[in-house]
Amino acid sequence: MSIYEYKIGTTSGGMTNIESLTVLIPNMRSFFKPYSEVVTLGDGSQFGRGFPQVDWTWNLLTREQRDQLRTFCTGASATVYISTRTNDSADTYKNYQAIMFWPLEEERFARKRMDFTLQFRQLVEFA
Amino acid sequence: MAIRALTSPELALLRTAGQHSRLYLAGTETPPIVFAARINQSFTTHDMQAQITYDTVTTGAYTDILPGQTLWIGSAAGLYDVGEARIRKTPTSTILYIGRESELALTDNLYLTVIDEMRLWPRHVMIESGVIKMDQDVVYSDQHTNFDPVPIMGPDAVVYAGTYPVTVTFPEASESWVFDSTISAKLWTVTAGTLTNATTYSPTLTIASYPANGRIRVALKLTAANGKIFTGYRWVYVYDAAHLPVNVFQLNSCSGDHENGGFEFDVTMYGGAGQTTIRDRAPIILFAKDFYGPTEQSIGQAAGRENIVITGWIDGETIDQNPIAGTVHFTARGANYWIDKMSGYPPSVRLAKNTPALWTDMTALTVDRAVWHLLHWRSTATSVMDIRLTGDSRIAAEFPSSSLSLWQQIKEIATVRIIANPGVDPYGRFFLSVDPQLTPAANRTWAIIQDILKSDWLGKISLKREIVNKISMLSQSGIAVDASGSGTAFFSLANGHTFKHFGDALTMDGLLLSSQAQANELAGLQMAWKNNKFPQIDIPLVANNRMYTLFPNQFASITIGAADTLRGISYTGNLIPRSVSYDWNPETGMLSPTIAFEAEVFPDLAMNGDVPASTGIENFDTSVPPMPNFPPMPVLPFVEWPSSVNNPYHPKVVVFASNNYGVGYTTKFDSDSPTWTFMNVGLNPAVDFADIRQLIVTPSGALYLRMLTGGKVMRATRLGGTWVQIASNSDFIDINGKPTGIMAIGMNPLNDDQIAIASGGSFHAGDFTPSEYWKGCMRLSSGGVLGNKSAEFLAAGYGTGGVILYANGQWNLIATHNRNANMQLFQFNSSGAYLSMFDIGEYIGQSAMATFGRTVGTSAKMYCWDGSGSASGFVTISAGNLVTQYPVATYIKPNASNDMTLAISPTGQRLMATDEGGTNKKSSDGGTTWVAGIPYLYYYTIDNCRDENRWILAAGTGIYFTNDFATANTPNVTIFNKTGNLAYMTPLLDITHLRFIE
Repeated sequence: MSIYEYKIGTTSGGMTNIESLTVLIPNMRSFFKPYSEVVTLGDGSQFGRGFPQVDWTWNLLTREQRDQLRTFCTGASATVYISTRTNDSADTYKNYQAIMFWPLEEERFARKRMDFTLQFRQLVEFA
Repeated sequence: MAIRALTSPELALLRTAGQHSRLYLAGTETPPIVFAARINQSFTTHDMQAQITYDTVTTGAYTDILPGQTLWIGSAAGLYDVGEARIRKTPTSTILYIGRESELALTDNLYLTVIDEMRLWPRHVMIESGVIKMDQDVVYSDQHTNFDPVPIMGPDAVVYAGTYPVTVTFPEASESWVFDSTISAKLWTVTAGTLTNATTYSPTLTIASYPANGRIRVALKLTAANGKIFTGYRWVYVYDAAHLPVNVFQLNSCSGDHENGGFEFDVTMYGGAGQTTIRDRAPIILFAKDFYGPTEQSIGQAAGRENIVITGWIDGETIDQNPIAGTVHFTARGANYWIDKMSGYPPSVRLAKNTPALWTDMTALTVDRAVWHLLHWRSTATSVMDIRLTGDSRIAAEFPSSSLSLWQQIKEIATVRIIANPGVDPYGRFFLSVDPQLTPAANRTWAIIQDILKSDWLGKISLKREIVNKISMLSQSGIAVDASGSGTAFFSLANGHTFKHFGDALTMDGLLLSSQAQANELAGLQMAWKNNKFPQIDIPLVANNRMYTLFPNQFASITIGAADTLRGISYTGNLIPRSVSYDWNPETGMLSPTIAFEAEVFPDLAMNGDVPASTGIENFDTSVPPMPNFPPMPVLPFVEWPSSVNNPYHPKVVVFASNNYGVGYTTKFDSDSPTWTFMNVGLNPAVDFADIRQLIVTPSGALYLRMLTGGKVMRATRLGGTWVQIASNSDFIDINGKPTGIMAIGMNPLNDDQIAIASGGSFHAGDFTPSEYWKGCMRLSSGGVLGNKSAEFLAAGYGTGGVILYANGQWNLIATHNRNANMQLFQFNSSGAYLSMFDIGEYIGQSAMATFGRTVGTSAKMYCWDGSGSASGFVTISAGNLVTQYPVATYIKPNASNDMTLAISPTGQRLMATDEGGTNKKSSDGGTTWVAGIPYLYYYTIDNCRDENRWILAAGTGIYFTNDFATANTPNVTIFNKTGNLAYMTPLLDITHLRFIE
């Protein structure tokens, strides 16, 4: 029984809860940004624009867990489909098409990955 | 296609947070191969090759090939390493006809591949034995009289289908056009999908599945009422989840500039950018999927094509090959760039004064027509892109151009003459528009795209303020040319003869103008524009806003309060976008524009300019010394004169007025086909032409017109001169301050340039108080200078008209006395002093009707008629006010359409008239008996040529001359058609007045 509803897949219909993957992925901290940037307008107000973004960060992943995630992004980036929490008050999950960025550097320690972050960019919501 | 403003829902989207876009490239796929074969000939030269003999057909058939498609020539099948060419015309079973080439190293057995792609190509001029031909072998027949239609199909379309079917429409098609004709039939065809309404301007293309090669060719074949047919082509590019467009690239820059005339973008591609993916000179479209928060929608100026960012063709590329990551970098440039790269022969199009017989002559030559000629006959632009021109009707005598590029030729023709700018918008549509700053303020009716609020821009805006004038004095000159090619010069000065405190003097000449007033307004606009206080206002818009396309003319508006700037400078008004530069951030997905605007200006002060002083050269004696005496010439055999030689005894100088083309004249009436010229400078065509009621010519050669509305009397000092108003109703206020109206003018044949102008009251229903309303007076005018008023008299006639005849050494005004009164003869001495009034009689003048009359030379006898009473015919008035009545029952009633339906010979014995039914009649006994004149023609205006035999008759476009008083009526012997070039220039001409001059 999954605790959370974070999902990932290579097609919109093929998303799997990360806790139900072949190698279970533990829950992580997600950092959701509804816009890529916030700019200052001519009237002094702030305006958010650009794609939503989200980062998934784990304090620690095993090598097997890391390799499980790697199957979704074998290069520097890949188009994936995810379900992740947004910033609304109900912490609702929403589905997005996204570009998944694999980190350039990985901190290894005792067959583990420390402070491991996956970036998801250019999020486009789908039903 | 008019620019549209943003709608409220669109503005709301542009102000929605979380907007982003994804960019793609369309058109990179290899087009279908239509035909493949190999060259089957040897070449003795590579120079000026325009056809290729082929054999070994491996794909398709020659009947599949369309003119305009692209031919690849390569060392192997499907390659274009030898070069490319345009299919010029329909091929035969052995020959491909191509646009003339000298750059192809053609040899036997090379591979030929025709692909289904139409591009912008030049069409070269061929001059062979002095004969000009377009596109190698198109000889002139009637292309500049019966014009080809121009298809408007809208831009190419890009469809990114989520599911099928999808539909594509062509909402701009109804704007297709043709000069001097109409579109009579439309036929759309496609290479895939299903069309409905294919013979209308509103077809719908339904695409049920992915088409072969991902593209559909759409053709629109137009047939004009003049019989001409022309076909335009556009493409629909289709993508779906299984056929993705190119999206792995970096957009380095993306911009458009008003001065350069178009848009371009610069791309770096990573992988997949081989020779087959990015083809040389191939069309390419940058397009987007746009999101405004959760709403996926594109916002743009082309309906149904809003997802297109920029359309272009691929220019040179930089291939960066390295062991880690190879890239290909290329620039795609709009049609303006490619047209600018086409070398063109000098256009040298000139106004045809008769039916054009050469490629260099054109009917009613305007900037639009000259530009159309360049785009249609010297390039393939009209078949692959929408062409929209100014609609400006100013005629030019010719458009010489020394520029070599087609674009520069267009600019030289349009920008120099009417200050119109050519431009291609991001969708690839060509526009030619008079610059917004030089358009009269009342005509700046284009849309304001949006009112830009502070919350619409990012951070800050940059406001450049000019505090010193750049131009201190503007001297402007140009000409107004009429349909016959004759011009009148106008000179304007802004602001005046004193320089502004600072700035340079600027001279602008060679402009096409309409009138002095228009010239002055233009000078004021030029001055204001050159000294624009806010020539550049850069605004970085925060939103993904692609509504600013630069072409055609468009506005934004803004309010900058004094408190908004440190210097307390404010501006409230319209802005004109001059350049657009998009900033693309692939991480955020933001494609946001920075737009360089300039503030709208309004006319500065301007005035009539100074006509350049005489140089003295024109008075130089160019005559040659007397020739020595030679021995007598031997007697030569009789040589028959060619038909173009003038006819002795025919009149030479004749002038007419018409109600739709104004005043025209010829000084070559004695030629077989006279060349007529118009003289309308100073007249307002929209009002004055149909308002002409009298045309007279004084012995000095000065011409006068009387208009109905306002009672305007216009004077031109000579044939071809400018009309200047010398009198109007306001010059005829009676002693009670009541307005009277000018009802007649007449001239003194014994004075060089003297006319009389008479006014009278107008009919007021139910009012019978003549002393209040029916007063008139007369004023003489000598040399255009108005004299004093005569004593007032009771007369009606304004609105209907009277006639003034100089006879018996005095002025005679024939007009209605008052309502329902008989025709009266008001007499004045030669100085214009009122003498007396005399009742002419009962047969005419029975109500407030127009009255007409003509004199018998300078004698005392006058013939008068009017439009009243079925019994009335005409009367004569002889010395001593002896009136003779000629009832219609026995005689005739001259037509009451104008004062020239009866003409009289100098002796008074011969008369020629048009009766009420429009039949030409003549009398040889002073009007006692009448017989048919010219039996087969109807004429409404007649003039005698000051002898007994020569008469000129005209109506509609027809002008005829008889040299025997219409006795034999033998064509080209005693009766001559003098319509000349009018039949060609003004086929709907309606002549109302005509005067023989000499």
